Amino acid sequence: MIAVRLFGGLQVLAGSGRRSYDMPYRPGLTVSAVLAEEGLPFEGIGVILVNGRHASLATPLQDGDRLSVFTPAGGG
Amino acid sequence: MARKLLRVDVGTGSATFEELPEELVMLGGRALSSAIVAREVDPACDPLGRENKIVFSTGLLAGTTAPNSSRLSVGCKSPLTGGIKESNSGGQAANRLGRLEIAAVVVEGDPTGKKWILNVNKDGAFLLDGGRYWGLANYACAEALHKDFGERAACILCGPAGESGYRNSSVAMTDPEGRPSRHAGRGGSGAVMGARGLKAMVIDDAGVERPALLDADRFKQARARLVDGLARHPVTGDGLPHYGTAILVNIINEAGALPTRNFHFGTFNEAEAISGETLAQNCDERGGKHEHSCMTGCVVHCSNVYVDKEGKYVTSGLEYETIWALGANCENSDLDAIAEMDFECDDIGLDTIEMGDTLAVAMEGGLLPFADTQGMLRLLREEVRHGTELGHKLGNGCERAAREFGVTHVPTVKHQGMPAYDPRAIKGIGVTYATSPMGADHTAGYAVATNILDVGGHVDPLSREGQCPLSQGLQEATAGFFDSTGLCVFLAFACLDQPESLAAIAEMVSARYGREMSVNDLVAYGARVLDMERDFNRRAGFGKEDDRLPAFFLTEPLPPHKVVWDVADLDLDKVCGWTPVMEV
Ligand code: SF4
Repeated sequence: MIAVRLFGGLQVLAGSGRRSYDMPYRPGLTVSAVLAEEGLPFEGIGVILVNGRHASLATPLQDGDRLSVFTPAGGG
Repeated sequence: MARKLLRVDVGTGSATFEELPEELVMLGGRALSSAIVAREVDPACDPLGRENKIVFSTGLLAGTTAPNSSRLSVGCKSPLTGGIKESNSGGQAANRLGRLEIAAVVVEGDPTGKKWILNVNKDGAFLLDGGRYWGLANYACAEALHKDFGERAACILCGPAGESGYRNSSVAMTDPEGRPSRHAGRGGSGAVMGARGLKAMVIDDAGVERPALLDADRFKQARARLVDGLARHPVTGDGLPHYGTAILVNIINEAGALPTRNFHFGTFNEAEAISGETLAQNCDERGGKHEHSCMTGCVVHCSNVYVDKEGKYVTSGLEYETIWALGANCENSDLDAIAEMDFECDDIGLDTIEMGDTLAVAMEGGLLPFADTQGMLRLLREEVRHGTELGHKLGNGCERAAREFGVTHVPTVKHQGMPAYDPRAIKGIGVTYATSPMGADHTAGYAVATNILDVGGHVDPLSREGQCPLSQGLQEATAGFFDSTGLCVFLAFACLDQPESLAAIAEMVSARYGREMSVNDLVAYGARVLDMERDFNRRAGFGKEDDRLPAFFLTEPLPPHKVVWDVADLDLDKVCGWTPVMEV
């Protein structure tokens, strides 16, 4: 399983409107494939974390990973 | 007309205008407040004694049409850190003072029991009897002052915390709606204002024109370029207006760096409940407001107005730092209660970061259990607000409270409580905490941008590589471009990715004064401000051992990444300019 967490305005952009869901793992799965399945446009994406570490659209995923995706954000 | 200095003597009751000496003419905001404190205040003095002064200074662009240019710097010797302090805030005061062409107000002297308010308007500056305002909490005081001096007047206030001499006490500023919701919070400046017997400043710019620009066309063009850059950048154009700073709760939590339970953990299981997404949803459903501005002329609008379930006003400017300090750090997941605590802190005049750090060590020491939301509210309302014995124990900051409650796990640097990022998991901000002359401070060099938010490139947050140059560069740029121009530091999110926006700031300064300032000049200017502040701290007795993080960060691995603080002392010393001692 991949635990997917969408933050900021992403659940609005996602086709299903979900914010947090589990997705079955399959070999060769990458971040971009997960986002494409949810219908998310890549331009609206800011930081991507896999298990709390910075990742990119091309990062391959392992079974049990937690994928967190954010819209561009700042603050202080 | 040239910018001038207003000197106020609370002993004699005089308020007189002076010309700025040539060497101070191109200083503003933090550069000016630190320069005046460094020249005029004895670094060895008692910060709450009669020798300390409090300085309010406007940035180089204050009062102009430059966007987000109304930060006001408050400077003094800090009662919390014992070193130099500059803390800046939004609100309306700097805009009004800027229009009156006042570069700085220096308040000095021994009030010998007198209570004052200072009224500044187009006719001059007047110290008036402030006896009937003394004792009022900030919201009531702002209301009374607006009634007496008109709605347009901007107020700067010393709250009950400052009157009580709490070392955690803020200086409050009113926002465009007249609410005292913006604070120069850090370092206890409120108590220095209180010790001068100055309850409030009321500034009215009615009948005053904007300050003259030496080259108005060039200024206008540079301004347009900056405003365009801010609108185009995804953080300043979209992220900050939509979710405010609280959007960081989930990001920092997912990155394993959200200090939880007095800095014992890096993630908080209930982060979602106190997140920016939840805050925005509450605002939408209940009729609150996001995209609020803390000052006239802000084009980013990161602030908010938070209302309760009935739609009634609770607080304004509910920020990430506050939500973390009184939330995750105390294992409190009740956002509505955090908003109530934010109101209490604003009304009493307390820095929310220091207060959250204090309550967390009090919880660790057994005064109340973690997550005891009602207990926290009761302590604020019944003890801290009323200056009881326990209130004083809680009102003097995290480190002093830790001593009272026998706690040794104390997240402070230079006696100031740490903000909302664990330095083990975001090492760049750890360097800023350790080396800023202000003590543990995040805005002084916001390495979180590059460590976590991928703004201005990316430097791995868990590795010590590259963190010292990153923090040093950010500290210099922050002091030069933002803290001294009066521009809100959130503009840095765009500027870090847009060299043309940075250049536009330098051009606006040049066009305003008719003196050329390049981007490099402003960076060098920032470096000089830091040197001056470090020199004051050295004279106040600080050594390189004070530019360190507490020992537990080096020995206790932080879950979930199991990381410790491992930036070398020698590298920290280089940032601070300590000369290495040669081994013989
Ligand atoms: S961006 Fe936020 S903090 Fe900065 S001036 Fe605007 S409302 Fe105030």
